[in-house]
Amino acid sequence: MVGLTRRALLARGAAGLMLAGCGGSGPTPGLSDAASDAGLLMDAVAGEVGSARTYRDLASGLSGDGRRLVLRLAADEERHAEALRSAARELGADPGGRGDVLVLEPGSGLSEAISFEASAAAAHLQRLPRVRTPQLRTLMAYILAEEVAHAAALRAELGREPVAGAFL
Amino acid sequence: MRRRPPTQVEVVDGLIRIERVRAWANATAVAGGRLGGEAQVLAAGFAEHSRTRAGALRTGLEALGSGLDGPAPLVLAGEPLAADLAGARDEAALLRVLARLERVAIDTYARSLARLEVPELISTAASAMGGHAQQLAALRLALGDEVV
Repeated sequence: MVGLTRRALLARGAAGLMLAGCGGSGPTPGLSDAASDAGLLMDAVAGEVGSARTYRDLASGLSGDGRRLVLRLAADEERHAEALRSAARELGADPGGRGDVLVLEPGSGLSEAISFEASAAAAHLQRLPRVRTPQLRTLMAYILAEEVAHAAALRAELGREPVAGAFL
Repeated sequence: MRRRPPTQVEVVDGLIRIERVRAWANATAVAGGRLGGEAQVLAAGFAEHSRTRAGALRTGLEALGSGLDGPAPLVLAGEPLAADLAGARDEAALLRVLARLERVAIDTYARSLARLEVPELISTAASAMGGHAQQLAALRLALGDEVV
């Protein structure tokens, strides 16, 4: 893992690294670990798919910089979903996704999207300690960092001050 | 000879050092007088955040009965970082040095999360990493850069 950039990791979805057992001092995941992580991955995929869909819907009612921003965020979420699917395949799981796909209600705006991003980040934060495959933790952590940046970009678009605390 | 993997204490100790370096860097930036009002408030807050994170990480280790021996002296005067901070000609250059530090912190936390095994430490580290991501976003906004 060392030497891989965030962008490369997100592009590759941790492919080939988890099964090789690189990048962590924890034990190589056994079947139950893989099954557990696959479940977490599928939930995460569902979250990313929901976010991407939300941003695509939101973009249809926007113009200018706001539209450009949410389309960029939608593309990011789709990239996250693909990285997570790729990781799921590495674990031998069906990457089709499962779980509830949460989307914003019709008529929602950028303000609601900030809360949506905060929820997405909180969900990743809750999943991370339960992830047993070390490399997968790194992938999810990078995705978490990008969700935080999304919320900051949305706040900026609305002219709100960035939030910066010691912890998320 | 294959290098042994770092212990949990060593991984967390590395994160504490990251935070101590950032506390020092941000405090140095504030003290240098090249930051304007808003940027100064930002950097002063970041220095405090790093001290808070270092304290939380230390507490996390102590809760596991794995306390450190107390902070080792942090001497950075001769390191490249000190030269970068001193050589930054204006506020923007200084903020870019601080932004670079945030990116390095995020990468270090991401790698460390693969090495941590204790759920409580993973939670603390992941949350701290999120804090650094917020700080990086705030710095990019202050610089007029795109956040994403």
